[in-house]
Amino acid sequence: MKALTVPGDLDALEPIREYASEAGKNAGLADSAVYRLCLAVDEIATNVVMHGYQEAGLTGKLRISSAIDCGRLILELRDTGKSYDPTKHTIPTAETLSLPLEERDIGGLGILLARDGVDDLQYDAADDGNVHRFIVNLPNARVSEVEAQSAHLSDERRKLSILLSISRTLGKEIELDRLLVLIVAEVTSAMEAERSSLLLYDAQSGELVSKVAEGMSTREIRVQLGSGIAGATAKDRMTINIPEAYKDSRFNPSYDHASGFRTRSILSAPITGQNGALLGVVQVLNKINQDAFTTEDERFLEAICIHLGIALERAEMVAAYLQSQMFKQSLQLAREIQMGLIPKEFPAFPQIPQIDIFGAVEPAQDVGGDLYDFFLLDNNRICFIIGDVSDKGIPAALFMAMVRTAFRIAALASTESISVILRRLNDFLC
Amino acid sequence: MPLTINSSSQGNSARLKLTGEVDGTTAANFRTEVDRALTSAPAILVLDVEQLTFMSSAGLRVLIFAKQKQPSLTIYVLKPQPPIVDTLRKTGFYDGVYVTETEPETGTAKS
Repeated sequence: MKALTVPGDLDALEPIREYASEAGKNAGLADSAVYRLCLAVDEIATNVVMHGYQEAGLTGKLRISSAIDCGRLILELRDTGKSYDPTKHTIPTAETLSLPLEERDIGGLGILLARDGVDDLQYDAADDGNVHRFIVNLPNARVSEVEAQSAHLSDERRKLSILLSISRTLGKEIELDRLLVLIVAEVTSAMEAERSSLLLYDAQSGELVSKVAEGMSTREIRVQLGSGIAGATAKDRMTINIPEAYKDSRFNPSYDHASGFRTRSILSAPITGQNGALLGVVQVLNKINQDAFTTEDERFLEAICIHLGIALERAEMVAAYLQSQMFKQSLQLAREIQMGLIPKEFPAFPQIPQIDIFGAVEPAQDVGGDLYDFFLLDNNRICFIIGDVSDKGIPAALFMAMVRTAFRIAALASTESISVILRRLNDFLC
Repeated sequence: MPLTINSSSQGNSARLKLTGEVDGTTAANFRTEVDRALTSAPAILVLDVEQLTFMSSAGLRVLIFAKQKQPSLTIYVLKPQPPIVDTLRKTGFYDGVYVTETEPETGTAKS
């Protein structure tokens, strides 16, 4: 009902009572309850006009509005007069109410009727005046509404609990492939769907790549952005809710044909990272016991996707970290291989004091492929070798080790010229 | 709905028939009519409220004024509608007046 504003004088009482009466009837109150509500509002409005405005030498308005909230009808009466809190006022006791009328105090009766007329009378001192709220619990006819609201609340609680559970479950798994399987299982269960599938976005190719699809072969499926339902979800970063898959031109029935599954309804939502970057798409199929997914399901899947986004980004970070750790270890190993092979003991030939030789490798950044070596071919010849393998890490170090050994064997086994030895070595390596 | 008051008197009884609503606005009119009725100091005041659809505490106060002015006055409230009976009960007025569904026998004032 639209609020009503009237000048704050006694002529306001009748339209205000009519407003309260209509609000009470609209809310389904019995006639007697409507009367008591009107009486309560009338008593307070009278006080406001008489004491808040007239006696205080003030003028202003009265505004009445109504709302139904949580199974209660709430009428709100606002004024800008002198403040007065009826809830603080003492009401006549049973003893004073039983006095002969001529001995009765004329005050307090209005407050008594106002407080008695509703289930709750509330007062707030607003910045610019007073707010009185008349609250009436709605009768049984409205209980279903209240129950619906409480069912809604319990559904909200269930969803919150599922979200927390998903967050906890996903938080325990850092290995990406296992995480993806977990995600799909959790989403299917949370959404009360028959199946789910997950596609990750490959930024390099600009495609979605199927990672886990329940009931499907492990064959990798690649989808262009904008193609099909998953592609459209990813391209527009929008949730798509399809009540009847076979009536949607974007739906590709070939997966159903291949798997024998019959897709009825589809809910498809994008997974994005914290900076809004596309990470993938999750699709849930066939709402159990219902024809289609609801708009509430849409919001819930979107909420789940926030958690999926966080889990995926975290798994990627962990993978990148592990890779960098592995790379560091590989460099360390390569360094050890390299350093283990090059001559490091000096003087190199203590038995031949005439030969004074020194060598060192100081890697600038990458380790593995640089080599030097020297050895005596015979009593009269010393062989030097300096090389650079065009790679790094363990493969380069191993290749370097092989070159060094092969060269030594070739050189020591031959009395031929160095060019012949190098050619032979080259034939061996290539 | 405004308040219409028809007054009459018979012997030691004054009678006011109230039609409409008694609220902060119309209570002044109600009080004027009661005061006028009491000028002849009747023993009985009959308020025919069958057509009275609303009465706030402003109406109750008029009854207090009447009794203060003339403590010996007997007030009959004739054929009140259920919500008004409810108000009279809650405020203790039900015991201070005679609520009746039948025309009172004027002249049999209760002390």
